[in-house]
Amino acid sequence: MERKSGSLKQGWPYILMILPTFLLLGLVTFYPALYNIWLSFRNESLRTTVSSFVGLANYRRVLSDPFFWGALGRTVIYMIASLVLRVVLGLALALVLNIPQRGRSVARTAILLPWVLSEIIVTAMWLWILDHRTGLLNGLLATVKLGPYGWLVYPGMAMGTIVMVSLWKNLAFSFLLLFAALQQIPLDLYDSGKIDGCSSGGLIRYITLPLIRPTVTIVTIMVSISAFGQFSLVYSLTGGGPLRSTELVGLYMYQQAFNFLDIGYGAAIAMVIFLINIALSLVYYYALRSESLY
Amino acid sequence: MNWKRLGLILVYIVVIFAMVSPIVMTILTSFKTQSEIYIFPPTIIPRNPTLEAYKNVIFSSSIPKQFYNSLKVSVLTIALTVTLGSLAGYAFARASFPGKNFLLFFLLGTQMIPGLGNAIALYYMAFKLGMLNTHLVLVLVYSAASTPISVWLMKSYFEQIPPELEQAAQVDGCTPYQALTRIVLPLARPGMVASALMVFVAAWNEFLISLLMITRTALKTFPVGLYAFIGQFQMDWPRISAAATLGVVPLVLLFLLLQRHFVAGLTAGAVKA
Repeated sequence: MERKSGSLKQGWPYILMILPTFLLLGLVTFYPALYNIWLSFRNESLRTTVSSFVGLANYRRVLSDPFFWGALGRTVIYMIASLVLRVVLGLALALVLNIPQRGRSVARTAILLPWVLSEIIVTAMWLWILDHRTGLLNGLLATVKLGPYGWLVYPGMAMGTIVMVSLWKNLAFSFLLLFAALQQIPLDLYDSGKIDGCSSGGLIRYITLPLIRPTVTIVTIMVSISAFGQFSLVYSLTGGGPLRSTELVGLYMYQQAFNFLDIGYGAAIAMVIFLINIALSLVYYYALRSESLY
Repeated sequence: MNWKRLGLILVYIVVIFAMVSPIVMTILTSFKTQSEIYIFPPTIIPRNPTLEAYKNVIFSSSIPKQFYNSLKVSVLTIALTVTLGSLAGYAFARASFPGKNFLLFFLLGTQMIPGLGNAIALYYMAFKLGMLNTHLVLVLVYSAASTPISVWLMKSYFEQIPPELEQAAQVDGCTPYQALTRIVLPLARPGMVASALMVFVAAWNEFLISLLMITRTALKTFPVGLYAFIGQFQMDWPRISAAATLGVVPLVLLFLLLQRHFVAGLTAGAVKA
């Protein structure tokens, strides 16, 4: 470092370079995060201009709100279904596409394609496909004498449909991270495994899976958090219906704050979601870390 | 031809069909006539291909204007984010000071605050500051959301450029500033492209903040405009598909052309964590 000449040698240019980033984040990320905490202790509302400190009243209300618990339960179902499908399917596809074969890059690109589309474009696409009267899916099923099914209009079906559409859009994420992890595994590990008499199933069980465990942890955390942040797709595809059957916590928070104009209550729900996210991350981190690697 | 190869190719075909067919169907539907959508079971290939739906979307809806709004917001967000990311990324790559690692992980920590969690507070702040219905507020919020990953991404690119290169340039008579702009920045261009693409996808697709902040039709961004459009023209699938196709094509083309950079940018945050 002492060989360096010119003004960049001193620390202050570096500080000036970092400062704007933290200024922006301070104003637009940290301040709102703190402001949200402050709002959650007040009966702030868009209906009136007067508001006051109400202590933990909003939090007490969250905990005794049956609709919040309903939304939380549905979010957990959505989260578990998404986790299983995205991790299992993502891993299966990553393993298959890790085998060298002509055409695999086309398949990989196909998986990534829906990922760059906005949720609203995805909704525009699937609304027609899933429409229960004129939709493509029921049309195709009718040709083999099945259906029609109310993919988005039967309360018992809508959640499954949302899980599948979000799987279609977001599979790329888990696939890509797991695929990248697989490519980091040195090939001679497999060779020595084969010499030691491992079957190909054994190679996956004893070499692949332990080595990609950290990535599985990351994917699990990210997919879980995304379930609690899910808003756009349910808002545009079903609006939480039919009969609240797809009303996830993110949507419920939005409705409380902006349909019922109850900013303070919405802020408290946001805080509860945030705390759940942190708790989930810690649980996964310790659960998946405890069994040490080699 | 062995069974393994056949099985693999079969998997590819199933995967490609499942992922691509909804996109292809939307593009095909956008060329249908309005009466064709009532045929059941629905046709796949349009019987009388027409540009009627596109004519309606382009000449008598707000979609083109909203398309332009999204482009404007995205480009400004890219400019701000890549500038901030490059500056801070360079500093983090070159400088060593106490608390550097803390600041870096602090940046990653911001990714734990979901966009949804801050939405209410951001809306209320913009409301009180009279910044609702401005594009500036979107640019600021999107930049703040993308800057941490951009910093990490740029840092990893700058770290691959040896400081000796800058010193050599200075020995040859460059000022430190010239060494930076003529040697380092051109070498860091792939990182900037990856950052820019990541920011573009995030800003172009963002829905919730835009939905909250912008209520005037002429100021809405494309996703929010498309959402209103879907509500307005319910069941008019050719028209909805045409509007969606206009949003799909630029993104898919960009993705196919620059896939490598996309993947680097979009996975950066998660892989680093």
